[in-house]
This record gives sequence, C-alpha cells and structure tokens, in this order.
Amino acid sequence: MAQITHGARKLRLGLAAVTAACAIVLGTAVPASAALRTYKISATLGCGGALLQGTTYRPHAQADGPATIKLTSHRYWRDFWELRVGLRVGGSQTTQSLEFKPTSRTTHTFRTARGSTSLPTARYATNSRVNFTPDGRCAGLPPTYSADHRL
Amino acid sequence: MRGVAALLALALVGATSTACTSEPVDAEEYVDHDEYVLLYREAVADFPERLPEGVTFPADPPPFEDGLIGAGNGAGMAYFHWNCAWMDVYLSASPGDPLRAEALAELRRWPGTEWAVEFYDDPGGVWDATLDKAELGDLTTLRGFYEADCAYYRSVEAR
Repeated sequence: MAQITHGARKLRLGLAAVTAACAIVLGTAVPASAALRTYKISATLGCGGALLQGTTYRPHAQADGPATIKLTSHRYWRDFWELRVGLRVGGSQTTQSLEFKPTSRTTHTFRTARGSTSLPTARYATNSRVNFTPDGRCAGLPPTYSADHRL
Repeated sequence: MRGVAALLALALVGATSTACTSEPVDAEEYVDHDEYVLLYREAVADFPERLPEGVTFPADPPPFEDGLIGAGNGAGMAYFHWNCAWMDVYLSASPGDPLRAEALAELRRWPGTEWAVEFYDDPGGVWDATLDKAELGDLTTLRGFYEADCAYYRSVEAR
C-alpha cells in the first residue's frame, strides 16, 4: 500500500485558479492485481468548463492491460453536463477523451488517439473538465466526482 | 487584485473541503500557462538533483495545450527532465560501463525525490520493478517509459 503524502506545499493561488474554482485530485491506491492497480481518485472541477490538468502521475506498463475509469459518486452536476476525462503524458493528452454522464457507473476504457485500448508504457496524469453546451454556470458548489481509476 | 483573488480561492477551497469530508482529499492548485512556466523556472534555478554531464535544463517546460494545469507540474517538468536524462544515460551505456551504475543509482532515487513524494503515486512499485528488470538485462519497460515520457527531453536534447 502506498503512502500518500500530502506535503506542505507552498500556497500559490493565481487569478486563473480562482476563476476556475479549486480542484482536488488525490489518491488512495489499492493494488487490484499483480499488474493493474486501482486508484481511488476524486476531483472538483471548475464551473466554467476549463480543462484541469492534474499533477499526480501514475505509472502504467503497456503489458498490464487496458486503463479504465469507473465513477463511484458525483455531486453538484447539472442535468445536461457531462464529464470529459483523458490521460496526459507531460504537457500533452495522449488518449482520446472519454465523455459520459456523471451518473454513469459503467467502466470506461481509455483509448489511444488511434483507438487502441493498449496504452503505451508511461507515467500518466489525469485531465478532466465539465463538458457542457449552453450554460456553464454552477448550480451551487463546483461539480465533483470520485472514481476507481485502473491503470 | 491578487490579494482578493487569493481570498476568493481560499473560500472556494474551504467550500470544497466541506463538500468532500468523507474522502481523503488534497486540494490541488491550478495555474495558467505563464505561472506554470514561472514555477518551472523557479524549480530549475534551485534544482536539488544532479544532471548528467553535458545536460542542461531547457529555458521553458513543454507547453500545454489548453486550460489550467496543476501547479506541481511546473517543478514536475524539471524532475522529468532530470529523470529522462539519466534514463538516456542508462539506455545508451553498454553493460559493464560504470555510467550505467551511476545512472541506475540516480534512477532509483526518483520515487524518493521531493517532488515525487508529493506527486508520484506508485503503490505497486512499478518503477522499482522496471529498474530491477533493467538490471537483469530486460530494458523493454524502461525503454517504454523513456520513449513516452521523454518526448520533450529527446526533442530539446536532439536524442
């Protein structure tokens, strides 16, 4: 079991961070098998639909199998909003974005830009945003989700 | 303006924390591209690890395409550059070359670096297992990490 350390990070809050609201990305990791691991992640997204690119990186070996995400809870979502989530290596998202209703509790599989479920060996971070069409205003608090992320 | 912004952000963080009391959470700060570059430059100016001979940090981190990015990515890109440089040394050296042992020692330090302790999540010890395999002669996984994670390093170092 990993020790997840929440160190004393210097508080640096730019204006951009304010306009997009705050966000949470964390992990408690539960080894699921000898190969893939399941991370319990949680995030708070901005109301304006801004793409939020997380900092927590997790390793994935191609031979281990497909990487997936399965939502376990959501709060403060408007009916017509969808979650859009992808995986990033360094500064660039390398998977297609998955897009689904936050009410979904099915397992969604990440795919490469070419559509393969076999992701290259890499250390991945999560990109996520609210994908909405006509109205990005929050109904109250910023929308959140929790998920089992298998990588 | 900045003071007001900070207060607003703190209020939002507080609201979010209240909403998520059942979960172990770590508030992540997000910054725009300019601040991300600034954080990278600050990290590079005071970088605690040793780069291989002949390798320097690029002036700027890899650009990101859109939106906001977690503040830890600024320093993170410096740590990835350092890590990629030592992967390069390891993968380029011949078996038995003392450089390999030196590079391996540096690569083994990755999970314990100041940045990785906070932002790298590897409960299964994938990184250590990768290095163990490499030491036994199987470079497949290490080469995979190098090829995917080090695209920016390879472009700036022309590797």
